[in-house]
Amino acid sequence: MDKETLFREISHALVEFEVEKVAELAQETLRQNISAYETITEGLVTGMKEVGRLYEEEEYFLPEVLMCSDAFNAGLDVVNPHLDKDSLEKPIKMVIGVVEGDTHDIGKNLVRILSGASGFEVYDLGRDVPLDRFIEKAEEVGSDMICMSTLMTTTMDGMKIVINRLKERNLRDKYKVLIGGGPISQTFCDKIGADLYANDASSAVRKAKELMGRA
Amino acid sequence: MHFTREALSIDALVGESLSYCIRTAGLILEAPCNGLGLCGKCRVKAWGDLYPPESLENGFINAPDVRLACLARVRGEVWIELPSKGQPLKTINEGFAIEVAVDSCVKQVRLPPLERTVQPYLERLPYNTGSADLYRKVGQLERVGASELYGVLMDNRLIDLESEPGQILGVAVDIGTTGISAYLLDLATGEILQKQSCLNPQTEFGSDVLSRISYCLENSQGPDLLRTSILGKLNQLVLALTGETIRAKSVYQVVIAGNTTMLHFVLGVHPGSIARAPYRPVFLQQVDLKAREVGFLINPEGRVTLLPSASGYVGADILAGLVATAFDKKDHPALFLDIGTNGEIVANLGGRLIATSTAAGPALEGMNISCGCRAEEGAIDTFFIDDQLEFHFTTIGGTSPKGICGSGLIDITAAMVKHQLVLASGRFNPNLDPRLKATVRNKRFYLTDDLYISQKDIRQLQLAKGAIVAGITLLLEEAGFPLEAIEEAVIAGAFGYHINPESLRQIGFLPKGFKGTINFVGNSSAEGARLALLNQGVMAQIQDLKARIEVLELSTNPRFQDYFVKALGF
Repeated sequence: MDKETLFREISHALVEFEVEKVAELAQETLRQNISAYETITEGLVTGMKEVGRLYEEEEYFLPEVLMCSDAFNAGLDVVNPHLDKDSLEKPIKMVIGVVEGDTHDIGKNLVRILSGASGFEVYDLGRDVPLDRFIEKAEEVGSDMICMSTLMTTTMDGMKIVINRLKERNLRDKYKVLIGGGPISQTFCDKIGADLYANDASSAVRKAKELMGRA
Repeated sequence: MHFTREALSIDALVGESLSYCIRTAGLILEAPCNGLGLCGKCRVKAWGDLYPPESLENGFINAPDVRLACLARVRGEVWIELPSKGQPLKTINEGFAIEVAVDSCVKQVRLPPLERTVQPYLERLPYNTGSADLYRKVGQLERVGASELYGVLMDNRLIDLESEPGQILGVAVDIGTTGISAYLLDLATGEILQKQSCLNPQTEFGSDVLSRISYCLENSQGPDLLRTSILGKLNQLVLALTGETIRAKSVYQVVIAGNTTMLHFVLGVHPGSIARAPYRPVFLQQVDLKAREVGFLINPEGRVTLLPSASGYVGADILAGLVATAFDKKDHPALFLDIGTNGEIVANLGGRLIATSTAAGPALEGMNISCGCRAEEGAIDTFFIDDQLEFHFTTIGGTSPKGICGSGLIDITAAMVKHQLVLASGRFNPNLDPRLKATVRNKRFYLTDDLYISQKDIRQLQLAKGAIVAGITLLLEEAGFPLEAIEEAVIAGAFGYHINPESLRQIGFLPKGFKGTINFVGNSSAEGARLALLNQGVMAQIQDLKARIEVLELSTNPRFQDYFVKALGF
């Protein structure tokens, strides 16, 4: 199998969530001395992009996305030890969490999984995250983005507070702020002055990349 | 601004939203999402000088002069036509309940006659009697005389006095987030004299608990407004039940069941803390207050009782329902479910009672669904596809179909699963039966020319049932109890009452492996309030349940997500 066919097969197996097949094909790339970097970007990431598209088109739902991400990770585990770290583009760093007062984190977890599978370096603060913690962590790790999520209308104002605190500390321009969750809308995003709103996990990742000039 | 239907005009400021003006005018328009511009259910006809719609609004409006009241803003003179109201909500004003003996804390007694003694009449009686109202009544009776005297006792306190034996009445209420049910009872005989039900007027502040709490977070007078709204309606109900103000004075006790947030609103208590982790309410225990203190227009010495709740999201409505159905006394393992925007789940596992709640979302109430609506006239409430692949449906009131309510949604989805219009994953089947092909266009299944179920609607339903199934699975796992051993599922609330149990099984509304029977008990919360009103022992039993029931918080459980995702398929 030549390189291009192999990458296509990896993408295809990933989209069909065939975990073992993805791992086997990844082994095959190593046998053929194909660079891990290329396998990741041309095979695995391409596959996840397709998964994202299917999710946005409502063909795939949470279970399929999670199974695909398992397949992605199975492939990554095989080639990662052989990755020449220098070949990597500097990853986009993001700090992510569910805002203070809310413990519903499935949506946030999905964004974490998909952005991780798209090459983001993700710092997950979990749920019910004290608002200042978002800024502290972003400062500590030199993040590019701050991502906040909530399912409840009663806690969404926490996002505005984080943005205001960024402004007070003259840090607003240092970070792109991405928000999402059940009650969040573009109107709310505009109102509180966030940089980006996405209504599902896949478009969040796609739009975040566009915003960072990595589309 | 001119309201064409009401022939009413008001002044409005430039930039104000239509929904704000509607409220200012004292009119009511439901705003399910509390003005977030997410649900599109507050469509009105409006024309004149309005700011043009922006993209968010454009997504919901499809005809000239149709605007979303929460987003459209006034620029100059505007005419507005509100949708015709008075659509009665189909709710259930009945439920299954055990029988109890009449033993209310309110009793009528024959009192000794007014004799010529030096000692004040009331102070000779073996009861606590100190109240200005009673003194005034005795003062009158001393003047005009009375051959017979009858007293009304609450516990051991005399609260009223008459010269002839009148009826002693009580009112039992269930305040649901969407609907209210109330019974008028004769406290001497236990007879139900009247029933009333209506929409909860607080729906104008948002259709679910969270959006109403949000309203209170955004508006400092919020708790007051919501209190005024519900109390006004409850007093109207009391009047409608008793027929006249004078008879309302013979109501000596009102017992209220409802979810924890609704009970906070009755007292005008800010419920903000219920909607933030750790979801702590201001009060859970039973509250007994004088009617005048709460603002009830019954006998001013009468008592208003708010039944106790177990937690912020397992309220008095659930505890009342458990008692009404004797769920706590079942001798086989069973589940009790009350399904709305939040699904409450209680398990009775050999006498051990464990409860939890799970965020099911508004899909099952017809919200968030493309052609969804409440259970009101014109809503498709049942549906099936026969062996010849013909469609059959009914609507509430038998009128032409205008939308799909929760029970219709479940039936339709079940039919779609059964006839493989959708796959087990919830995705539309790319290889449709050729005879059904014409009904699916653009990932939409058309029931009629203009009513359809979209792929997104199916996803919303999957999220709702996934949350409930995951809740049940995790609760049983925490208790170390096998699902297969559960013999019965008791489904309470308006939701379950109209639903075909086969459809529930078809879409996997209960975890796979559940082998028991499904029983619908209707509005068991109102029934529980009725029993508590009639019998002090039942009231004590509800308090005892509150102390006994264990409450689990699921959203912080790390395994919830796994179970949830596994439970999404059909």
